Amino acid sequence: MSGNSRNSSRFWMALARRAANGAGFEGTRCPLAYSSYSLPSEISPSLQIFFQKITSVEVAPDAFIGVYVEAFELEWSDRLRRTGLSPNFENPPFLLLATNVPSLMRRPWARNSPPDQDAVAVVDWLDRAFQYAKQLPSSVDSLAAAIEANRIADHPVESYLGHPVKVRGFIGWLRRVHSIDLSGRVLPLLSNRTEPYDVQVMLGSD
Amino acid sequence: MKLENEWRARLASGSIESPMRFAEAGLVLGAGTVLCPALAARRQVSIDEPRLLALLGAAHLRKTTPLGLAHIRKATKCWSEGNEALASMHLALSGLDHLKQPVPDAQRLFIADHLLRKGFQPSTLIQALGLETPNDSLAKYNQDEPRVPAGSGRTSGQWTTGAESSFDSSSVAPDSAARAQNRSDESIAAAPASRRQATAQDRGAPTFTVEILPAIVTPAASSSFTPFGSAVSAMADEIEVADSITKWRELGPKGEESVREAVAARGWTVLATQVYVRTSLGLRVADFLVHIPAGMAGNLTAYDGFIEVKVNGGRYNSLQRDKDALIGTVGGVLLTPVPGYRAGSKITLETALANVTITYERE
Repeated sequence: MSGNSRNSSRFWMALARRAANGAGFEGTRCPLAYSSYSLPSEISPSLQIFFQKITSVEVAPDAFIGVYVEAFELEWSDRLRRTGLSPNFENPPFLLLATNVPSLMRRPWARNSPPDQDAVAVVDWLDRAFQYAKQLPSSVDSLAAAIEANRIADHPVESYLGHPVKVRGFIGWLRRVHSIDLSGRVLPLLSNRTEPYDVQVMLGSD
Repeated sequence: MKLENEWRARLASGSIESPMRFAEAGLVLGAGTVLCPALAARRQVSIDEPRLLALLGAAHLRKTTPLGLAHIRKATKCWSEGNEALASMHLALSGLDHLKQPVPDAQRLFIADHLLRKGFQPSTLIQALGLETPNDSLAKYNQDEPRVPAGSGRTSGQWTTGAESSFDSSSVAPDSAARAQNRSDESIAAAPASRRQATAQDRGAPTFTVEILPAIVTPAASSSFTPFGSAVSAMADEIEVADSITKWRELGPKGEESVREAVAARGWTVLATQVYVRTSLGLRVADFLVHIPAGMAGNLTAYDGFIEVKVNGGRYNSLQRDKDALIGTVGGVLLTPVPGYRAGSKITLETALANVTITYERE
């Protein structure tokens, strides 16, 4: 691949897409912050991949590893639109920065126009990130069990908490749609912060 | 963006000039920035002292001493008299002739020159650079002082008076720390950055000692909460990003990993790195945003906060402190997607400092 074609974020995102597809992931139907991928199941591990500009000549990959629930995200997006907030800056209710996973803690720094070895290192990191994500819950039952056990993959649930309003919304959705009540396990971990959501709309019963 | 393009064009048009030298345009430094312009009369330059001090402050990120300024004056006099060797000697004696980190230093100098030509006052730039009271931020910081509990409007936790034991400031990598102490001759903490870079290549593997200070810094409220103006904020943005880039370049991937390990070793969760927050004083690039579960640092309830990394005693300048004070009190606008927060919303969190010492060991 020529240097010019590599000298853009498109090159990195193409690598991410290829790594995602190779691991069986595909783009999420609901938009999330960054380029997001999930498995084709109702509840799925997800990765939001992004490349940080570290120095003037180097970038490094990073990712949010999370649990994507398409039906919930669709409902959440509908509510967001009613409040005028864009769904493009959303994260799933449970997610963790890849940095916190020991095997992903050291990420490659790649030059903007990377030689092959830099690109290979990035691909290797992405592959490991997608493989790690597969440990996350992929069904309602496994998600409920993980929360009950206070363990999502290698971390306590608290490490995976997203925005408190969205987590509350998801816990309410689980109760309404699947008759699973995890509020006793999760709600005590949440703060009362609501910014920037309209709680009446986002957590309302309609 | 326009300024950035101009900078790139300037870089492309020639090399970074360090040391300072006399040229046809006058006394120049960095990417051809003219510190003192040449007059019509041959070998005469005009010294606008406030402007010169602002430019030198931007280039070196420290105040210019009277002795340094006196040597520059003598250098211009010698040069006007045709004594180029003596002029060069006085430039060297000024201690201001070399840029420690040529590209970022030259870029700051370029931006400062641009703003001065746009009509900004030198004193405003000096203030924006945090050079009016050098090193006062850490002098005011007393790590033994109990932390003030969070305000009633906050959902965050409170530190107990016993926080010291939980915030053990020992190194996350005790072996590295011991080696660093035993080999003080290897320490390069006080070395110029250029020497550090050379040393990194010459001496072998770098080791990192990460110390997170045993309390959250609650910066002193500043009278400079009034915005300096949009253009000064823009300059502060450029400096902030350049500082961040310089820091990460110095840390490298291994240093980044060391800081992450230090956070993980304390049972904290990294929510994000390089977090962009917009304040009324300009952009702030926070190095880390962490979540601290209840009890992990003497906090009664869970707590989120920023960590500002300082490498080898790097400066925590007053502008950064004031921005952090704003973010910790009235809040700033989060520009980066972060777990637990929504980009574009207001974020009100405090900042702690982390010192990272890099030493180099013979292999």
